[in-house]
Amino acid sequence: MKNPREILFERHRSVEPRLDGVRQNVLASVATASGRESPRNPSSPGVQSSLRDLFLPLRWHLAGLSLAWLVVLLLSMEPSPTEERSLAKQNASPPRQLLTALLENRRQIAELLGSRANTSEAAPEPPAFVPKRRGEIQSTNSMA
Amino acid sequence: MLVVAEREQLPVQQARAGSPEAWDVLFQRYQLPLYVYVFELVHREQTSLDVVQETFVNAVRHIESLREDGKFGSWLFGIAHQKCVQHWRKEGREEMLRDEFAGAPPDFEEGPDELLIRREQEAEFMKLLNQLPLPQRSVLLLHFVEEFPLEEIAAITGAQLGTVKSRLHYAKRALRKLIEANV
Repeated sequence: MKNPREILFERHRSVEPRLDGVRQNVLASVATASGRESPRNPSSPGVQSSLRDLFLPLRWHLAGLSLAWLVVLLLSMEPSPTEERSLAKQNASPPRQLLTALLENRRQIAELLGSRANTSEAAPEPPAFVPKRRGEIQSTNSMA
Repeated sequence: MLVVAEREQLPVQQARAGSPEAWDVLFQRYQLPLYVYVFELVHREQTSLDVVQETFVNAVRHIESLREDGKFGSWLFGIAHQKCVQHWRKEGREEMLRDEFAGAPPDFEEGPDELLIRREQEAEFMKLLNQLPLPQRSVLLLHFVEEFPLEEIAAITGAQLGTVKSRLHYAKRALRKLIEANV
């Protein structure tokens, strides 16, 4: 008495040498493929995993540091001379306006000087300070 | 005594790492069961050898798609089954993949059942096996050759679990009738 598996396997035992040949063919291709791949990928999985273990917990710190450096870099960037020149050009008034402003300024200064001269003529002179004698000061104190 | 693939210590992890020695062990373990399964479906020696070779090559190429190492056997048979389906499609025999049974039979009992066949019944057994429709034969072969659980047979053949149950039920019933008739 046999079970179905035994019957089925017995019927095909004769093909095993050919199956061995098939297996050897496939194994040869596996060996060739693994031989080709090994020099292309020199970093072993062990090294990769240890690098991952080292950098993975620090990923947020590294990202923060990178951001900080980026901000520092942006802030420390100086505008180029051409930019400065263009900025000065933008802020500068046209020459005619500048001349008018200068003339106006001069007129105002002249007016101010003129008015000060007039006011000094009109106002009374402040009394000149004359120090009193010690005896005069004492007599005023005793009277009080 | 049948050996269930999951209980074996197979070097699947080493095979994933590309070890040719590990692949050798795996191929030696499965070459005859795969060949038996494929041959009893296609009935051509050269085609069966080609399918086994293609199955091995595909297994090496796509080992990363295997989710559980314990299911290496059913995964390998799944590749071989797909190769058989492609073979039938090429020959325009897709109608052979359909059968009339769908849904689990009400009296289906899952569990080991020792079907013993006498020497004088062997030829009759093989004749009956070959008369079964392909989907039933496929399920019965997977059950006999590797004793895969129903869920894995469903995964290999791409069928619903209920369909697999009904196919196995009717195929076994037909075999029992044969054995009882010759007692």
